[in-house]
Amino acid sequence: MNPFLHDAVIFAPELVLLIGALGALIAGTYVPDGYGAAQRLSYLALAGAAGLLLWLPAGSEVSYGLNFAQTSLTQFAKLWVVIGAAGALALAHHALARIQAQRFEFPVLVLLAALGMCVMISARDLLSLYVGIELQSLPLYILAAFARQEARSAEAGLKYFVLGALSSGLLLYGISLLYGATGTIQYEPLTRFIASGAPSMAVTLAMIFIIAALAFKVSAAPFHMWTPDVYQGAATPITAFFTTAPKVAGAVVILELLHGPLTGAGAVWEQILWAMAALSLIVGAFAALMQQDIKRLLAYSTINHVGFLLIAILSGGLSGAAALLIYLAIYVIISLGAFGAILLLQQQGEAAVEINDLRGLGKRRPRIAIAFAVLIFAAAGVPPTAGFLGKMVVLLAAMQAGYAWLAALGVITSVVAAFYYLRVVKIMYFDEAPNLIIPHIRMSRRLAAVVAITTFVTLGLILAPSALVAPATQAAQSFIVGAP
Amino acid sequence: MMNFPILSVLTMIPLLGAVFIATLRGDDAAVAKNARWTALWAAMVSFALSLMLIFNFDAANPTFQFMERAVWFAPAHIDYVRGVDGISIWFVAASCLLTISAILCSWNTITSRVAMYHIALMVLLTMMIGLFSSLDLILLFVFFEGVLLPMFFIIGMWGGPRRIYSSYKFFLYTMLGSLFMLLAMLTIYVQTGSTDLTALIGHHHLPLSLQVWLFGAFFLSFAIKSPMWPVHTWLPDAHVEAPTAGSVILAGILLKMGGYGFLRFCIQLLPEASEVMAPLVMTLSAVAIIYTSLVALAQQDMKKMIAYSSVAHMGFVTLGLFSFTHQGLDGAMLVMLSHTIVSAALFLCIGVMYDRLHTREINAYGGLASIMPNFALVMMVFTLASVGLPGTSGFVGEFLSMLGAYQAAPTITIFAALGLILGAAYMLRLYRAAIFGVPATQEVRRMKDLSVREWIIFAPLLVIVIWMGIYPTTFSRLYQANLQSILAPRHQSQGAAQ
Repeated sequence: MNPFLHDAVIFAPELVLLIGALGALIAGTYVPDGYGAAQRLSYLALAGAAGLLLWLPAGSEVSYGLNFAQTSLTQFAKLWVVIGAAGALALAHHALARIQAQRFEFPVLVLLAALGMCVMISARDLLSLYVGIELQSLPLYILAAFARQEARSAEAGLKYFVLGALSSGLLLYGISLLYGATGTIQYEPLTRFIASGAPSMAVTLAMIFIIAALAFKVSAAPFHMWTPDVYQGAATPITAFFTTAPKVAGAVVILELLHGPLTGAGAVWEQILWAMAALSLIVGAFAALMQQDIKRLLAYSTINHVGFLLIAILSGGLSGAAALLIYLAIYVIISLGAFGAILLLQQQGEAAVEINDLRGLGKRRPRIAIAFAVLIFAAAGVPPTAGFLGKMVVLLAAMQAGYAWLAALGVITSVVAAFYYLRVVKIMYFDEAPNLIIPHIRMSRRLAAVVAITTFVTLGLILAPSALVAPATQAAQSFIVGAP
Repeated sequence: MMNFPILSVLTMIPLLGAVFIATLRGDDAAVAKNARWTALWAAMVSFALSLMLIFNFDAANPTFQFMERAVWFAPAHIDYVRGVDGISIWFVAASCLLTISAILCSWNTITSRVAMYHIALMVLLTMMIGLFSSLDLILLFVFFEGVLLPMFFIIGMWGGPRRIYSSYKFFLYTMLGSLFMLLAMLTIYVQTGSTDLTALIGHHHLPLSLQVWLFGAFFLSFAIKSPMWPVHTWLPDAHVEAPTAGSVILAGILLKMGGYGFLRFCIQLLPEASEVMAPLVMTLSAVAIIYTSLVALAQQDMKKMIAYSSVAHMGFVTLGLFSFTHQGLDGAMLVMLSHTIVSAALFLCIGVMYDRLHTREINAYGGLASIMPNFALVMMVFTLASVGLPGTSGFVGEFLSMLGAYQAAPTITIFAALGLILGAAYMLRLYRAAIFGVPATQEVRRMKDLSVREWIIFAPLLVIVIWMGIYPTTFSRLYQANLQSILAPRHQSQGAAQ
């Protein structure tokens, strides 16, 4: 095949996203209802990308001079990035109208960020990775400050930008050190070089910088400080986007790097990783106990989830990689549903900012309340919800890799975390309801659909877990087989 | 008949009932009425199906019956495996029966959010049936933990003044235990590559050092669930705050999850470790029997008293189980079955009294023998069964379990026997204070005797208690072959040693 065409086919999902983003930008500028047009184009682009990701033959293909790979693993991960982005778009519709921020830049930025994430996932050299991360981060900074009339949102954007820029600097510094030490930035030669002997001081240092920068992106403790503030400050649908797609991309990149080029230095990064995993579990469980704001609570809950993700990465092997993908997918579903439920409540005229605003919700809004309760229990990992499946596969991978104590820590922090999850349910169902006037507003179909679908998937996955587990295992297989 | 997936159908019926109740629309009174009847019918159909299971059960066959198998967790080889043996079949039936009692006893007393209440009961029944008829570790765990959710709601939404504290304590306490059990199950999977109980029991021999660790994890979970001293503290709180139906299910079925777990996982799956740890477990049981009997003696709250007595009775279960004798195991099973009915019935009795006077203080009552003669008779039968009078269900089980335990550990058994005396003391104290004497207040004089609905609740339980006391073979017949096969390898190894 023509080499250009060959590369283009492999790059097709990204191309679709890129064309969609540019088209949305043009449409937004020239069409009267810019937001509507940009939005529809974005859905179209995301659907096209998802279709391509599903349709492209599974298997390892490398293009653009070994710098870009399309494997079952990247396809699976990108699919969930796309789902996260589409979910965020669907959730944003009403919320943006409420804060008078229905500007066409929103879908464009979401698409560009998703494109960046896809590039990150497929990158096979460190500079492509860096470009991908920056392409992801810049739109995210703007999105954090998107509700520009609100001081909190501006603060969130600034905080995220300053800290994010710092982490990008760290990453770049790490990359340049690695280049200095090895003379290459491509994954394949790097893998051979690092595996060839004990890692030198420069390689170790570079690795620490790179891991720290990526840990910042997925908000793993102790690099999580920005998360609660940004989650609270950003508009809720944007927080939903932050929670889902970037975590998928970040976690998969960590997996690809550590079990790819950096495999040879495993003895070093294993220690870093288990420390971060343990810290994330503990911080995520204990710091959330005191939170009053729903979004801050969900931020700490995310950090706890990231602890589980890191356990999966640390465990490695087929079961670890598969567990990571399964956990990520379930986590995306739960997060979209939970944020969708919050937005649906707000669309119905509820405050739904502080946890106490949910008081008496079980009586007032029985259907939304039960969906939210299901999703909260799923986040807590209680069977028979999908959240349990995610926790189980990660714990299984940890036991297989001999990290029994990390699994035990995960279990103990889960019980602590259950306490604050239960508190949400308690407030919704057990506390006395205040006398509120309930305005009758038609439910937004879009939001209701997101909440309903995620809730049913969360409940139903236990009946046919293979539907998710089989493709995830297949994707993980391609990664393990493809690895040297 | 053999290909009909009766266990799956049995599990789905209550769930379908719950879905149906969830779709009910209309004014509150109509929804409440329909929810009650739907739940009752679903529970009755389930009970009828479970009786069908019992009648079609082949008692001579010690393997699992009514097996179902389907691919569940494809790449990991964790399958959907269902089946019952002579041990679990009784718990399936008991779950259905007690759910009927639970629905009937809350017919008039639960008036708020009726539909949701019955949904919770139906989901609970699904989970209980699933738990006792699952033969895959992970599947079983899903049901085991799934029980927590509906119970959490039942205690937290329809409970007493301290319901929130109690529901949290119940949930977090049991979750901690069961998550360690999950780790143990995953370890078994990592070691053997299977989570199928039919493939695991008797076919895989894990090294003893590992078995002891696994035993510790399982033991923690079941000790909390059954509950054993000193991790029993959630039980009195949960019982006191739960509505009557919640207490009935809690004492009747949920505690048996612990006993069933000990039998299935500790004794069947980890036989060597169980033998090593048996002295510890038996000592803890004896301590539990004496300690909680003494505590029960000091209670003023009737529900708390029965709750503590449950801990004591479950002590006899573990005492019998870990004696590793046929009589001990047989006795433990009978104690569990008897306690299922008797403790549920006693909580129902307290519910009858509470519905009329709205207090659980023993001293608030008195003289009911003349005011509610029928009720006094019913309560007497269950009190005597709880004490273990010959001719009632309580006697056979406790006698056999002590007989078995005496062969294994005479000293401990002698101490445990003190519990029988203490048990008689606190139960008779309760009965004397509430039923005999003079009525404490004018309100007590106005209490009405049992209604037709209450008779319907008590009648089957009365029949079972007497039946089990006079002819326990009806019940024990089904699991004799299973007990034989549990103890057979042990006897063989002893024979080889001689």
